[in-house]
Amino acid sequence: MIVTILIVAAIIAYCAFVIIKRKKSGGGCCGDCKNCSSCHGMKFDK
Amino acid sequence: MKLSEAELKKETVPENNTDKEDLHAAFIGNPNCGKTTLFNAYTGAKLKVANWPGVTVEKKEGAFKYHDDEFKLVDLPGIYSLTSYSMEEKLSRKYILDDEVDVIVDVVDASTLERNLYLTLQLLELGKPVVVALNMMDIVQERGMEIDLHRMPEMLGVPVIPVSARKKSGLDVLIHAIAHHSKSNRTTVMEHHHPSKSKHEHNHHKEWAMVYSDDIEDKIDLVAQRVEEVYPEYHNLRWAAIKLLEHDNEVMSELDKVDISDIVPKSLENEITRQKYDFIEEIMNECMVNRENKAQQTAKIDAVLTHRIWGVPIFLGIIAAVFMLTFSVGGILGGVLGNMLDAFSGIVVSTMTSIGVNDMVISLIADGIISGVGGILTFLPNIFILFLALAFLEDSGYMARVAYVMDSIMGKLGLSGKAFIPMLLGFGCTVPAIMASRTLENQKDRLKTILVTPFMSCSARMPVYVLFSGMFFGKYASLAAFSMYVLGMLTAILIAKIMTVIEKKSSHESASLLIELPEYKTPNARSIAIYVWEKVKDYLTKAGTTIFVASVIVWVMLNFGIHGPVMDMSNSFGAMLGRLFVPMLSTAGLGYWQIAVALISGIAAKEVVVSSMSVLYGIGNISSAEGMAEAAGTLALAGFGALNAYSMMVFCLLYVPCAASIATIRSETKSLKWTVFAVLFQLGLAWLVSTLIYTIGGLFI
Repeated sequence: MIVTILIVAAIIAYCAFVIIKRKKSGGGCCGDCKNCSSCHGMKFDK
Repeated sequence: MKLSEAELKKETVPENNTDKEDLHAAFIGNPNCGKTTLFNAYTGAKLKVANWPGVTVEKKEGAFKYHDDEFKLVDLPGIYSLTSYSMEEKLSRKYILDDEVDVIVDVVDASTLERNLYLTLQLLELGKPVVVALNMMDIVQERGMEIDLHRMPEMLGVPVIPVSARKKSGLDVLIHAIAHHSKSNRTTVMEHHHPSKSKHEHNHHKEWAMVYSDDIEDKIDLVAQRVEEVYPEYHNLRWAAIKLLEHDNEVMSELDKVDISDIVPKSLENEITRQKYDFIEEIMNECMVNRENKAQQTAKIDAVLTHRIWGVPIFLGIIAAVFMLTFSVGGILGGVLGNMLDAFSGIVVSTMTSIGVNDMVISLIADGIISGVGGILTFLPNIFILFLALAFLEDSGYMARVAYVMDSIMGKLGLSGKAFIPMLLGFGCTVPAIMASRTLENQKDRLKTILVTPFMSCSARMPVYVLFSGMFFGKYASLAAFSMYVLGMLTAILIAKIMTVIEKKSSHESASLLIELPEYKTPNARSIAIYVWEKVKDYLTKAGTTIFVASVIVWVMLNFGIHGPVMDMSNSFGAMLGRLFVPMLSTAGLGYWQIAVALISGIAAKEVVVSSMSVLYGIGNISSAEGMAEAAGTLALAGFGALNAYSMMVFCLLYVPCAASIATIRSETKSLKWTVFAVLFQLGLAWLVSTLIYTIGGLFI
């Protein structure tokens, strides 16, 4: 029972963490940093 | 790198810089040539650098000590020429014209020397001390060329120092040169091989690197004389005269008392620019060793790859080859990963059962999380091969040619070839592709490009194609999947054309494409490794975050109903939600609540369509042959066949991009109205095209 509760709590906590982090970053990518290569591996130079 | 005090004191004191006043050095150069990286290396600052032109939009100052001398270094926004229009370009120009600057450090990207030298020639005309810092020499060497560092200073009349801002090499030599040349505007030797046919009264070749034709030189002398008469205190006469010949607005208003209408009734800017490029060509021919050989090789390859007629078919052939490779090799590796996933799932289930974990939670983990996230992870080899191939094409120099090849087609559609660059990037990820539309000057073109870019098949759609084509098209699976990429491109182009017709805009109004076509080179293993790793990392992160959460939500939606946990998914919240859309989707052959749920969840990220299918049908390893056969069998029992599968793939290709893309459209257009329009338009188009395909296909099958 305890293990079950712990697993469910961990899953809920992780999901909440992901959602909050994503929300803070403006939906995944705001485009403001212009450093696209760090997230998307893009090259914009040439 | 901040050079340590001890390191700096090893250097000798510059002889001609004995005063203790601060020496002001301004770093100037084309955008994205490495000025900020160089500035950071000297000052120890951590200003943001990025592989994107225009990162520095305001000047940054930093102090630096070299032996006993204090240096004030200034990092300026990048500019292409001293005839500037934007705010940051004006800022850079104003600063270097200011008397405060002792030395101009012209940071030149050696890999695009021809373009960078234009600004260099303009800087030399200022008559101020200039030191050229030749950055990115490693790229020139990678391309099999060399720069003659003995000849170039002779031709420019200023020191040319090879540096690598990234590897922090050549920094000591550069600062030494800056200190030594702060009081001198040129080296003692300046030697040109111009044919001596000049009838001009002064031999300006002794004074200036850039000397124009006799006709222009006569005019420069006349205008300079006139400026001196009206503004005797003005010390930069040659530069002012050249700018007046070019009818530069700022200089004309600054020296408004000088009347030159009799000497230059119309602007000579084009002629002056042309003569500068003639001299640049001369420099390139004399200083760039092996250039001709490389250029000939490039020209030979270009004759085939950018051929007027064959260019487009060759591009489609290459893309087809890339996707065939992705499907065939990726499928084999994906199978291996799938077997590992099955084994992992078995271990997890047996372990949790043995320690008495609740059955519902075991189902959540096995059928929800492992099936959902694992189902996506089995497509990792496909993603890896796709990006390996795209990186290879980009690094070899081919991708730039694609935009060039497509330019004429895009022009006929009323869009610039430039608009094809974001569309090409869309093969990777829609988010940066939408952001890349910033390069388009025309706002209408930009909005149009933002609207059609999501139709290019991003990598997230690939698992959907692999799954559905694998389930229903047997040996034609690769062909069915490849057709999605072609259909996406055709849709994007067609929509752009229709919008142009609606706007009644002539195709001649579209902006012309100006793109630098680099020499072909053997792709660099390190660059490719970095590019592919970034993509793989992005995919794994997405699987561990967005897809994890989406899988949990989908599992909850499918296992709970109004009265709590349900044994039959058709009584779940998910089924209730899905049924709402069944009537609308049924015309496209997608009238199944399970399909509706998968499509709705796919808005979070397109891969979630696949993970939802895993969760919906409780198939752990859906990408394996067995998993696909099981899913296909279940779907076939419900009357879902090959035509429905094709319609599903088309719907996934065209319907709303993922949540991150929608957020990007919103931030880039800064218009909620336009974002809502784009989403509704894409949804409507997906429904229309899928319905057409299903209806017309139904007549033949």
